[in-house]
Amino acid sequence: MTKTSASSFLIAILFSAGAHAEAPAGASSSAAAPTYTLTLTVEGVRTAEGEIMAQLLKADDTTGTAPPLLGIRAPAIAGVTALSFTGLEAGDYAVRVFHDEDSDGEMKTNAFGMPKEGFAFSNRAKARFGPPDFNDMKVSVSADTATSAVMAY
Amino acid sequence: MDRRTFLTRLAALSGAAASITLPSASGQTPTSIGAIDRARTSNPLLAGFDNAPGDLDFPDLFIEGKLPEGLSGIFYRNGPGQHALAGERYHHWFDGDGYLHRWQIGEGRVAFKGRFAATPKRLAEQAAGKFLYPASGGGVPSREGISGPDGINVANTNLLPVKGGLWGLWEGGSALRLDPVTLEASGFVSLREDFDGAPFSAHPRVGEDGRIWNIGTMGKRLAIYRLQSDGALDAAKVHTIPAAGLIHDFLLTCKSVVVILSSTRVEGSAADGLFNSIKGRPDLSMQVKVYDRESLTLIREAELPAGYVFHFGNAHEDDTGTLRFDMAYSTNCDAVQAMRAPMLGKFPESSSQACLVTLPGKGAPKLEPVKNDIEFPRINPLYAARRHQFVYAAAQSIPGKSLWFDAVAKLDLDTGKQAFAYYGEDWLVEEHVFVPKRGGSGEDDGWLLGTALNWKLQKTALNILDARDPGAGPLARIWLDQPLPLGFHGQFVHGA
Ligand SMILES: [Fe+2]
Repeated sequence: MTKTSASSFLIAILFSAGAHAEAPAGASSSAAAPTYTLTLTVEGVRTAEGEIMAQLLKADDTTGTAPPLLGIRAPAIAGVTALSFTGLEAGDYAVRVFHDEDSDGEMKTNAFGMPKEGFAFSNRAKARFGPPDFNDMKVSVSADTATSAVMAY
Repeated sequence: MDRRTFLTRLAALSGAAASITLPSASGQTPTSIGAIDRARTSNPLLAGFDNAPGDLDFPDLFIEGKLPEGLSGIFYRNGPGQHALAGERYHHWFDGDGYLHRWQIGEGRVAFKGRFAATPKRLAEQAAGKFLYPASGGGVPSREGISGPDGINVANTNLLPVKGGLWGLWEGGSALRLDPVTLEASGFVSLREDFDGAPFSAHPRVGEDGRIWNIGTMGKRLAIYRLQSDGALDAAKVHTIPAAGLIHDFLLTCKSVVVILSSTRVEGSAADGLFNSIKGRPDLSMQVKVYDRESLTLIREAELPAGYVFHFGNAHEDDTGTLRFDMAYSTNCDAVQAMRAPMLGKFPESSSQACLVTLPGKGAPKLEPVKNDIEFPRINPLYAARRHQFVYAAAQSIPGKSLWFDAVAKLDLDTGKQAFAYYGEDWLVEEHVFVPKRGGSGEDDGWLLGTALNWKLQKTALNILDARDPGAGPLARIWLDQPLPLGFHGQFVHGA
């Protein structure tokens, strides 16, 4: 099976912040700021095999980019799998998800680097000729917030 | 093609492009079919870009003239057949679902079967009664997401007969497995697990030994495939190349796979269709990349003058490493964009020229123009990868005179001699395929089979020419009682 080196990078991102949805170190340092929970409902999970991996991106207006903030995962539940990110400062976020059905911790890809495992995006954004734009995936957090994503396999 | 930067970019979600750029608007303009409807009413030639009808079955068609003795088999054709649905029209001629023809010829009779290629994309859209997915040419809303190129695979470009089977070909994704008798689809071909969903182009080349070579391109990736005659994958290798955007065809010699990058690069946004991202670059030479056909490794590179090529005829390589091949060469580097015209109710203005290329092992290439305004070059398949003398193509008898091809040309690459089957101004002529006569002698001993649309009668016909004397006109013309949209490519499979 071909795996992109990119996917190992994802794993590093996903797990550097701990196995469960903890606030990122940077966020908790500003002790005074209120924090919120973002709940993500992943629909269309086709099997209970493996895990649902979710990566949170946070908009950074100063650089005009949305770097990954942390990753979490949960055992896949066929149908709907829910995850939540806690301790988030107010801001604009997006979530990218994939279903690691073979539990190898990586997004399986073909020889062209195309995904062979299912994926989904917050705000029910869909892939067209590439991943959705940030705006399509965007979830603005200024209170406890819920969003959903639909798996595509 | 770079419908097709596609999931290379989607793969970015798996990581390294960890940051994404903040927000960019994605333009999605639904298109009304009003413009072409108005043009269509006043221009009967545009029947060539109507939707195909649904299933057609004609057991015994009217034959004008006489079927040649010894010709028996099945002539398959493919081309886009669903240009519009529920008031929306694609923006590019290449986007419609494939409509498959099966002309069964033998024992003095011809039967016809027409079916749409039942891809998952088509089945979902027909069930919904509207377009659901993004198109390479853009212009239709994306109502549903996709998980890979096969989500928008239309299997509309060509066919590949493999031992005991038939594949419907697109170029951005997998081959579609078809029943050679019923034309029913049964899912995409898996060549090997690590190539599932990867691009497999629409112009595979069958070598003199029966093995099959093909390419697949997306973004900066070029796959070269080698298959056995039954379609089993022998070997495949992925190379990195400049992102030219669309490499529609390639060449095969007895030693090499020759891939030629036209003067285009993926530069713009693909948000509304990947064709939108392909820019003509007349400042860039065409790049020739020669790969060893056994090891699939790069062995040689060269350059040709700037231009665009959809189709090649055939190539031969001698002991000194001199490559000789013919191509349908266009100096318009934006030829991909020119093929939007039919969706606007116009005929494409871009044209290509038959050109003979000699590329010595060392030294400058020689380009010799052969004939203006041709496309769809074909050769005697028994001469594939060997030295060929004749190429046959759809042609304008008088360059620039007609909106579409009105003739079939036989071009002699050795002597420069040209012969034409002139169909007349009532006809829109499509690709003609060379069918060698069994036990024949000589390269041109066979027939040319091809469809043409008579716009005055609003009927499509299959034409059979004597390749030795195309100027004599069709030996037989088999009439459908209705028009079919203009298509792309056909393949002939000899009867038992
Ligand atoms: Fe083609």
